Amino acid sequence: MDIIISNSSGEPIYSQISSQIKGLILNGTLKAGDALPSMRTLAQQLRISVITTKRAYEDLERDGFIESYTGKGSFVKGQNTELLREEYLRQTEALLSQVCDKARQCELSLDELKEMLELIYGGAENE
Amino acid sequence: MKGLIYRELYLIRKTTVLTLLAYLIFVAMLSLVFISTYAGNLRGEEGVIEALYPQAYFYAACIALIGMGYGHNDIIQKDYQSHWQLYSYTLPVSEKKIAASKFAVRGILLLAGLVLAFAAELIFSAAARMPVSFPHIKNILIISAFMTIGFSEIPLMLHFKNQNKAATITLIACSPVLIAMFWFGYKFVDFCRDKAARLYGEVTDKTMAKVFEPYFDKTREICFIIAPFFAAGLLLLFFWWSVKELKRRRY
Amino acid sequence: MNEYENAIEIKDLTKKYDGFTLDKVSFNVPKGSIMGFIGQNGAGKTTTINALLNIVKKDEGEIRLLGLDHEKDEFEAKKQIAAVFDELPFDDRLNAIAMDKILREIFEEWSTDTFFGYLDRFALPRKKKFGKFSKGMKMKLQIASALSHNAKLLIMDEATTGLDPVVRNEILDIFLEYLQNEDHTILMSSHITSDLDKIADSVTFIDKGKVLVSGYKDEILENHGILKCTKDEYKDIDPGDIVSARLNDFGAEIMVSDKAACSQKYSGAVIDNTTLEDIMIYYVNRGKKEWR
Repeated sequence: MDIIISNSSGEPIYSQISSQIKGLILNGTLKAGDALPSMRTLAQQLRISVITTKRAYEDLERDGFIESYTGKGSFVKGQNTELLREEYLRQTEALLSQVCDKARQCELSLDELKEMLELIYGGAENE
Repeated sequence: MKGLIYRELYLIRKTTVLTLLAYLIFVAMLSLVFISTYAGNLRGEEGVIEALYPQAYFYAACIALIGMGYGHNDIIQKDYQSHWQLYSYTLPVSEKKIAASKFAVRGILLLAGLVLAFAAELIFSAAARMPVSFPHIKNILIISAFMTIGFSEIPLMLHFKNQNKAATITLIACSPVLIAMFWFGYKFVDFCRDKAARLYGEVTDKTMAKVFEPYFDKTREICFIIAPFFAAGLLLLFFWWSVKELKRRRY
Repeated sequence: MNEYENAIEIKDLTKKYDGFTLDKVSFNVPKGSIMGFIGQNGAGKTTTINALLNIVKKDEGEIRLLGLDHEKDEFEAKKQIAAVFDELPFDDRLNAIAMDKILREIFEEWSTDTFFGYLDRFALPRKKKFGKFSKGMKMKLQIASALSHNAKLLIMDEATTGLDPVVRNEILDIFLEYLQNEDHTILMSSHITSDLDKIADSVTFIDKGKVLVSGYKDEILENHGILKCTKDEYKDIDPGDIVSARLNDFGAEIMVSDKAACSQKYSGAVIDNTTLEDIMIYYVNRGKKEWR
């Protein structure tokens, strides 16, 4: 399992960890029932505080991606498609708002943006 | 506590071995002097043994007893400097045990000095072809008992942390006693001189010695009886004082 | 074994010296965590640690170590505590083998195998006198002996100060390894905050004998920020939001203690993330509201 955190990105570390684990679950690298490393081991390997990894795992559990059992550890939860879709939607929205920010910065109009979108989306379908 | 004792003995081992060597050389040399009065180049010399033998054991005993303690006397100062003293407060050892370990080490050294002093007396007696002198042995024991005064160095160093300071202040504090002793000694010599003049008509070393002897013997007998109590009392006092100093946490 | 939630509990610790007072210092170190105890030289870190270990007698306050009273059950507690100082407290004339024989008789749970294991791992010679060790070697030796008697609590007073970054890194790895056991706790005092920025679970800042901030490191770092603006804009900032402000020729840098609220209040202002070092610097200068 690969987790890469950036100290210089604006995003808090616990959030980076939970997003990355979510991503790994969503793209199938982590399957239902797989064991996650313990919070302490992860903290030691990434050289961060246990509180941070704990928070990441708590978020993942709250969002329904993992289950934690005291004494045993944390395991990937079986996914249902609704949750998956919701998560993907969330991610898409977040990315779109980034796109809009950039567009505004280089003074791209909404129509020009829509054109660009159609090109790229349509282009992707043709692949 | 065993660990603390081992530590201090380990630290002084080099100095102690050197002192031991020096002591053995000293004893050997004096013995050779005795032997040479009948087997060497002092043959025929009158009075060498008479003059030296009564004193030889005394010097040897002093060297043995003081020398054995010599390596140990700057340990407390070094402990403060190296922060070992600080560190020992973080260990699961009570102040009583810390103090007890220091006294134990000193005690071991004192015992070693005692044994060496006895050995010297035996060697000298053999070398001088004299019987082992029990008064000498008694004197050695008495001197050892009084050496316990030296144990005061432990609480003093715990208090002052620095040898020079401790020495200076002790000297100042004890000066009245020392002065009194000198004055008394002077008066006593005067008294003996008068008595010698009265009893024997002339004042020489021999007459002085004759006057002096009964007093000396009596004193020795008294000392022999009170010495163990004196030593024990002092040790308890110093121990209690040391524990108090350790508890004060001078930081 | 007694159960306890906090490895260290300090309440209203007070100690008066001439010219310096530890004033009602209070904080807790939860079991299984590592706390960074941060402050300038002379701020009171060493005094607090000395009071914890009963090396100095406190004037007032309550201290519990591993659930035990630090005075009444002093020796019970100390059996499970290891203290590491910035200077090696072992005599220069001793060597590792002698030290092993000494400490074996002092700690019930001393393990010679563990000790020599660490010595080998740190590449420390067994027969060399300590006087010949380098600074890094001396610290590694102290840590080796601290970890060899099954201590549940490691208290370190400026242990990494004076070490080069490579050695510091090695030592931090050892601490992280130590913490893998949930029963182990570390209290680490330092003014090198870069180490603690990463691995500390909680931090306590102390300045001039008083605790300034104490809490989870992540929260503290998230809540604080450095707001940057022009000197004119600075005048519009509510003094209640400011910890302290640093003015230079080109603008103002202000530390705020509630980043979220401030980014709402002064929308559009640049608010940077901070480090523990910044927090220490800005808080220490809070007496002068503006400084250069």
